[in-house]
Amino acid sequence: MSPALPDELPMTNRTAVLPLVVLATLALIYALTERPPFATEADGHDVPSAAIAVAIDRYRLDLSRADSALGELASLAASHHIAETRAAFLRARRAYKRVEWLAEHYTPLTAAALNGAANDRPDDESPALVVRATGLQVIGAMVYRRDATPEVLDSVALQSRIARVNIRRLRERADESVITSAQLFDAARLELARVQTLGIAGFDAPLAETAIPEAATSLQATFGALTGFARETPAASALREGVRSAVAYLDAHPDFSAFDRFTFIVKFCGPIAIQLSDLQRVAHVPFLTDNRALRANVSSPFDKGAFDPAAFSPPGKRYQSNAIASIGERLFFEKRLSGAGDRSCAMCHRPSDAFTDRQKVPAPLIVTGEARVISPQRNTPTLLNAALQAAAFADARVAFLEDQVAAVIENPREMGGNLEHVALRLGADASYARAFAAAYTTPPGAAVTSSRIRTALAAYMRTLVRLDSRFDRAMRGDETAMTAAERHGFNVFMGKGRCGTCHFVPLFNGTAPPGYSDSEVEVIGVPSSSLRGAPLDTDRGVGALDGSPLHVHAFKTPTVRNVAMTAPYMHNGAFATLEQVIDFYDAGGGAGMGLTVPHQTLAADSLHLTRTEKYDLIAFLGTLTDSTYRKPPR
Amino acid sequence: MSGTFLFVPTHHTESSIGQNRSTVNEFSAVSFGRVEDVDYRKGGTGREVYFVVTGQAATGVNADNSRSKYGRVYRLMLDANDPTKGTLEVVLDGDDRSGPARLFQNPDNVVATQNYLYLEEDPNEYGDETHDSYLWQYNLITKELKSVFEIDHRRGLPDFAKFNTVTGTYAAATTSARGSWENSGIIDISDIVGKPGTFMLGIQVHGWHAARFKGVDGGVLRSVEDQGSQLLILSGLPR
Repeated sequence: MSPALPDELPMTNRTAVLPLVVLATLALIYALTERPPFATEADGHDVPSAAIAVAIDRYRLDLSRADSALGELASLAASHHIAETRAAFLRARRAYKRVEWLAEHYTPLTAAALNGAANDRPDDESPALVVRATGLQVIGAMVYRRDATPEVLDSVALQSRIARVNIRRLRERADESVITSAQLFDAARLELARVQTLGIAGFDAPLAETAIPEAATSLQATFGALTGFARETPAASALREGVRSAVAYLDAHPDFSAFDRFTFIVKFCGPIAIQLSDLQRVAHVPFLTDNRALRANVSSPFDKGAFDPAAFSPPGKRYQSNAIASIGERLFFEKRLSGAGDRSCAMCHRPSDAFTDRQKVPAPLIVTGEARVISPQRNTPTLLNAALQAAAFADARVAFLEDQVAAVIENPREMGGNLEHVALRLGADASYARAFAAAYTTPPGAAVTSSRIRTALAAYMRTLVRLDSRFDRAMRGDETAMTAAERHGFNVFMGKGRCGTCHFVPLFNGTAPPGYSDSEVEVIGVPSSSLRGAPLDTDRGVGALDGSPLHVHAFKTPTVRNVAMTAPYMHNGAFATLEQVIDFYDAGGGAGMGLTVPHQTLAADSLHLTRTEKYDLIAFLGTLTDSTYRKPPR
Repeated sequence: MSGTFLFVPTHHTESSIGQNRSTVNEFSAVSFGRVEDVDYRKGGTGREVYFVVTGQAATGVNADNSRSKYGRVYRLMLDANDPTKGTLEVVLDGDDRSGPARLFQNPDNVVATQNYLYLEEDPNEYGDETHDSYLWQYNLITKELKSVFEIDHRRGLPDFAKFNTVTGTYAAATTSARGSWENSGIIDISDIVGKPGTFMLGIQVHGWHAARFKGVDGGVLRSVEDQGSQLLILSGLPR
């Protein structure tokens, strides 16, 4: 329906991106300011163009090799040799891992078409349409089938040919683009984060379990390409040595389940992150300054202050100041926000319970008349770190906290209020009127408006980012912060337990690294209660909103930070304890328990977790508690 | 509103929806509710540009209804001396439900001629559609807006079911009583065929499925796609 821009699109069916691509390509960035938002590299003599050329030449060479590997895979699959096909598949994955860091930089959508999740998904624009998954993960799911029939292998051959088209697109995009050294370092930093958050969790190779050797390939290819920068300096040799020892560690411990991710992240990746930033400074390469959730100028996602909640703000003017957040905090305890004047936000989001209410679901207000029920009653989520996601509510129905505020206040079953009325009521209160007038630049007119109430509460929630748990301190090098059992629990979380492939470190929610710009929803098949034989919960989740058959019973992945404080669990509070939650996942979710769950996105196989693994997993989850908050004003 | 285009240093990379959003934030740029098509007025300065925003439901990023729901048409007048500067105004506003464009059901594509805009609809199927997709004609001189064509779903005719099935890839999509097919792209071919007032447009007939429509273009990604569609030539419309 949009103007055809074939060379702007990867070979997938993401028609949804079209209008946005059009927006970007036509540069319909029609702005009211002229502030240049990005650091730009001078075209002068200090641009190390030879060093960039080294990286790009390697990328081109590696793309040719990936193309050959996929060609080989296609022909072996077409001749129906299963053992040879599997071997060729692993070679193709390794070849892709060498180009991943720049493929993700230049062409993230094509990268997703090459190595994105194997699940079909709803079209963003027309959710009723199913977009077929493509790429290496789809191939992996086929070559590891017990019944890899000739028909299946023919599909492998077809998928391999599609992947080759996408590799060709990577080449074309690289040929026609320029890259600065700042972008090159940024891409390397993001690849290091990708390896730690997704790679070693087995996110993209769940069946092959080749994640550990593939991580070594990614690191070698990425950092090997930077050898042209400040070559003779101590910083360059420190980075070389850091990467060499990380790769040696990976080589020595290739087993997926047994791999000690904790040690790998803390002892090897942490130093590489610092060495990379050091080299960047020594080579006089600027850091990018664009606004993103994982700040562009920090070394690692585990750094203090690595995340910027403002990146999840709505477009337009930002309303984030101490004065505004402090009004928001006062409003948070304000019963006059509700229709009957008897409910405040804090009565369900209780600060002392990590901003939850410890109920399965909150008691609904009695709705009389014809008030429309906006959503089923669901478990009250914590507000700690709620700002670090791209969607609010269990069904992800709004993108911004400002709209979440309005939806809760105006939901007849939650607070039953009306923001316009609330604004009038509070505007008549002199102390609110004064505070609003002082915090906002007030044009003539009312100081208290519905829009300011929303922005103030949202500003307050953006101050509830707490990323200083024992886990965080351990990641930053504090060796006493976690016990051996807790470290083992982390390894289970990131490995055998597969938790980390949806609850992404270090936010532990569904906001996907390393871009942290989109929040994922999953179908896991939660039953209506923890009782044996309980049926699938009837709440249709995202599917009730967008009509996608793939989204029926889908819910946003919530954070498991502070999870020791936030029982009961799941969108309906079905599970009272973490033991029950882990047993549910160990069984393979709803489908694994024998429920009929169409399109479950969680593997239905048992995880075969041992008693010790479960125990340590829970011990690890306890290290994610950081529910510190400022005391309420009264 | 006057404004300016800004250079996007990351223009050479693809970006996800989230990345686009953060770029828009970074620039304090206007976030439109799905820009779908653009054209410039013929025979004039070449600096009079029209683009169509199709609109999006008031959920997700548009939960505060700050973007268009039913669709809008904008005019961008580019500065004569500096094409990165210009003035932007709303020409037709489908969200003004008492205004001239109150019947808009998500205009999607546009062709601009010397004196007219032709606008095609692709309804988002909110469920409140009152007509099947129109081809709108907007007179740039008199400001008159009227429908010149409506897609014929064969309603009330014996073969209605044949063209309005709700199976296949659009199975769950057709929840609306009207407007489930879309007009899809329009160009002025008068100068090519040598006959003034001749246009070519596409129609995606989402309710028409047949095995013979499968895989005819050799594409492999949507091999299950089996919808019928048509390219039509319209003559006699003024330019």
